[in-house]
Amino acid sequence: MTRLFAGLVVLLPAIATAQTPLDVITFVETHCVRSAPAGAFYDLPDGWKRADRSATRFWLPSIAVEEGIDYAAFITHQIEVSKEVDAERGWPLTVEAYEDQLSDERSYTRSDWQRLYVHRDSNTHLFIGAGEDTDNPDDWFPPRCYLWHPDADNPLAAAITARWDVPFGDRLVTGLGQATFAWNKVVVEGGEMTLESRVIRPYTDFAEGLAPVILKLELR
Amino acid sequence: MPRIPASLAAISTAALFCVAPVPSAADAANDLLLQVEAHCIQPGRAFKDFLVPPTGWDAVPAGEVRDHFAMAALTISAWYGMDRRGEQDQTETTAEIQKSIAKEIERDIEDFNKREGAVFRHGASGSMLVVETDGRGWFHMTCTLWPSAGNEALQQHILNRWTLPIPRAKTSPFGDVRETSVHIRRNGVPAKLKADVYRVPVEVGPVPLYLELTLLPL
Repeated sequence: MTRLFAGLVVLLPAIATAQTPLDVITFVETHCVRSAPAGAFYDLPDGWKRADRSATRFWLPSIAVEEGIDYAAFITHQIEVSKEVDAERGWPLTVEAYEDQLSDERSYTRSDWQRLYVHRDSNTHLFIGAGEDTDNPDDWFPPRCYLWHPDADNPLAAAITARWDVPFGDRLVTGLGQATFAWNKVVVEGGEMTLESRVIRPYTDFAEGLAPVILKLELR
Repeated sequence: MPRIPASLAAISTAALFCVAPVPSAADAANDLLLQVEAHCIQPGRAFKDFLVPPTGWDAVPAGEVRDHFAMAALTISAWYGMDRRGEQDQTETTAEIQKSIAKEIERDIEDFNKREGAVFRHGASGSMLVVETDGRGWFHMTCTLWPSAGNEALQQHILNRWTLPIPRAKTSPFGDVRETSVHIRRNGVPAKLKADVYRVPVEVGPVPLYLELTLLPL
């Protein structure tokens, strides 16, 4: 009985702090869509730890694939409306855009204004870029945040889709995956800005480490 | 094949009607929204086909279009008022903005009369649908659906289906809007679909909510 009680006491805090996927998403919405000094965006609550830089190659693809899908959509359209673009060259170009983006992200990351955090308990990944054009941590620079879980069967993917995706099944399908884009007016510190949100759904076999569903929130 | 006595057949038919599930308000809202999406989200379609009302909808006679559109325009113009409120110069009073809105409504109606379009009314629910274009076919084709004020099931369904949980979304005494763009492919044609949901306080317009679907070339 005493052992059972002790077990319960140990278990209770764990239950109290357990976060549902929706808790994580709403935390990211609150944290990323606001005005604050750049440094404040890297001040995360307990439970989040900064990822080891050696793991970069596993998480960069989940950020860079967005650009690839964007470009793939553009190229697909160009192929269909213009005879000047060679269809044979179309698809390799999109992969090239993705790889260029990978390289850009890699160099940005070295500047230390882009950091990846991992949630200790759930292995949820949160990438924050919040001071890319400034050297002063007190300056505010509209942040961009990417949220994902690397495992295809983790419930975060479904929670992101349910909350941020639009239930319309005929998106433009590209060779790299598909994405939903949304722009909304928001008020941050009394000023009007645009919140760009994207739900990115890459084909995970395209590159190692790609998450099945990625949420991006960016203030512009 | 044995013949079924007429009286028994009548009883069976009556029984069938008894067991057949009565469509709920939520089902009806879902069906209506799917029908509007199927009608309006058709890149590549000839514009004259958009002007044929879907099953269960009737074209509003030309003489009544102005009255119906005035109601929609009043709501549509809420966005205009909201935008004015958001501008840097916030000295404009609500009364002044409302005056501008009234002018904007007149302009909207004039524009609608110059453009190609139609207004449909859904017989069962009283929902309205405005279909219009600026003459470039399906490019820039806009469908505006507004449920009747009492049709809360359809209003809620539109919100659930087409709005996103935007933190710090801009709101004003004139209402708020959620804008979403999706790249789509239908009929083998790639296109950009813009879906905007406007919500308006009752004191601003008689229609609390409407959905605007716009097709754009990608």
